[in-house]
Amino acid sequence: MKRCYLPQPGDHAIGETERFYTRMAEKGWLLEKRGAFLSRFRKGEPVKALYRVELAPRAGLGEETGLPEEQVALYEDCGWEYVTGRGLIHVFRAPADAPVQELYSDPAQQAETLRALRTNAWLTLLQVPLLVALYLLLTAAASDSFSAALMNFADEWRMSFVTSTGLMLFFLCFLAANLYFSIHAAVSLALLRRRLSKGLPIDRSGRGQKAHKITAGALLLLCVLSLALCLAQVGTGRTSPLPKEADGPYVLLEEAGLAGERVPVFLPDREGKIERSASLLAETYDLYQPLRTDGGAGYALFERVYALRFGSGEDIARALQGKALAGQAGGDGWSTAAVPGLDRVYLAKNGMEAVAVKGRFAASLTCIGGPPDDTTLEALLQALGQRWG
Amino acid sequence: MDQPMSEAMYYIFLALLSPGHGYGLMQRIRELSGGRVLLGPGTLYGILTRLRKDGLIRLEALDERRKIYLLTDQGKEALQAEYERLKRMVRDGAMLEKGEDEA
Repeated sequence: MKRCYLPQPGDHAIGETERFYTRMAEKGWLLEKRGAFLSRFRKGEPVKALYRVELAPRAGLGEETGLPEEQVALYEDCGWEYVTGRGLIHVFRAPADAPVQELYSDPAQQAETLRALRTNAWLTLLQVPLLVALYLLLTAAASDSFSAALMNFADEWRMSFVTSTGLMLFFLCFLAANLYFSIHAAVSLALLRRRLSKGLPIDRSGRGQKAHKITAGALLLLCVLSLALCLAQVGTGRTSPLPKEADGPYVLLEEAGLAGERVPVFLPDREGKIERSASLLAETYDLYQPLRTDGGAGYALFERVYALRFGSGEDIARALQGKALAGQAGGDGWSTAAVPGLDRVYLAKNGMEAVAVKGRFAASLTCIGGPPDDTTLEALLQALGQRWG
Repeated sequence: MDQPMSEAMYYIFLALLSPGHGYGLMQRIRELSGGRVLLGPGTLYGILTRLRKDGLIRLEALDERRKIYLLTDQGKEALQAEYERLKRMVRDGAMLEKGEDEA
């Protein structure tokens, strides 16, 4: 038997849903099952049929949402056949030429049935703002103050945009679409309730949807485009062994005057490597270099360099500090230092970490190992200043 | 009941002076009103649910999936009160007939 699946109007669009199923039946596609987003149709003879949606009340704890048997029996006694249902939405059908009574002779009574659907619409609408508020409250509890939590939140977002522009754009488009559909559902239901309360029946004409369809289409298109961008960006990621000499805006331990062999130190089996990726906003170089000097000292360099396409490296300096060990230990672990060739340098008090900025470049370096009076980090910063020109 | 009954509710009360289930009530109401009041099953079900919650009707029996209802004493009092109110209203409006005669 031939079947097809089609996206259905949202739960809030009751008139549109009834019209959709009626028109499908006219084309010979009879509703068989309603899912979360898609409806399943079975191919048959074209028929003129009336479809009506009835809303189930909100179920109590541990109860299953659905229409009471008594209600279904009453509707069937009146000539309405129960077709399918899911959650709050339940669909009945009757032949168009049958002498059936409309489910609601008093639209104001029908307005009362919208309660559970309206609650759902508001809960969906509040979901995202509530989650953001909860996240901020939790981070504020772990931070010194609410303003510090907000700054951290903004830094996280900025960094995510720099490194994963495509993913973040997709996320934002998805959020915007979600918010738009939630607001549209809540407003549509409020207008429907007002209409029914005035004694006017549900509008099944399908008019007045043009602006909504254009907006929804544009948002979905943006989601698809940003997803494509996100996938394209994933394709730019490249991991390779460390080159003998730096071939990008980063530095290697040898440039700090160290000579030795690049063999795993501190972390067994972890070889040196460099990961390069590109987003719309930046090129990123993420490298790890272990080194055993000829004198037997072990070094490990963790380095992350951002070459921004827009703006200044200073814009992400605070976020880089926050991501470093010193930043995670608390906000007081940093001091500024002057290094020739660099606009600004933040040195961690643990002596191992630094954040450097020059023009559109920014980098975070962590250098572990070496003798206690080691000046490797400073030498690396100077080399970075020269590299960034 | 503090508020006047709607027409639909008044006829449901009248129909429930003897036990009845949903579809039977719809037919009874159609007969009682001479075909003037046609209740949709959704409207009827909504009102029955509310009346039961308010204690104005009670479940009398179960017939497979159908529930048979009957007015409670409180429901009968409410119906009687509404009937008295309507009678008063008709009486108060009797002058209209007099006015028509004079005209």
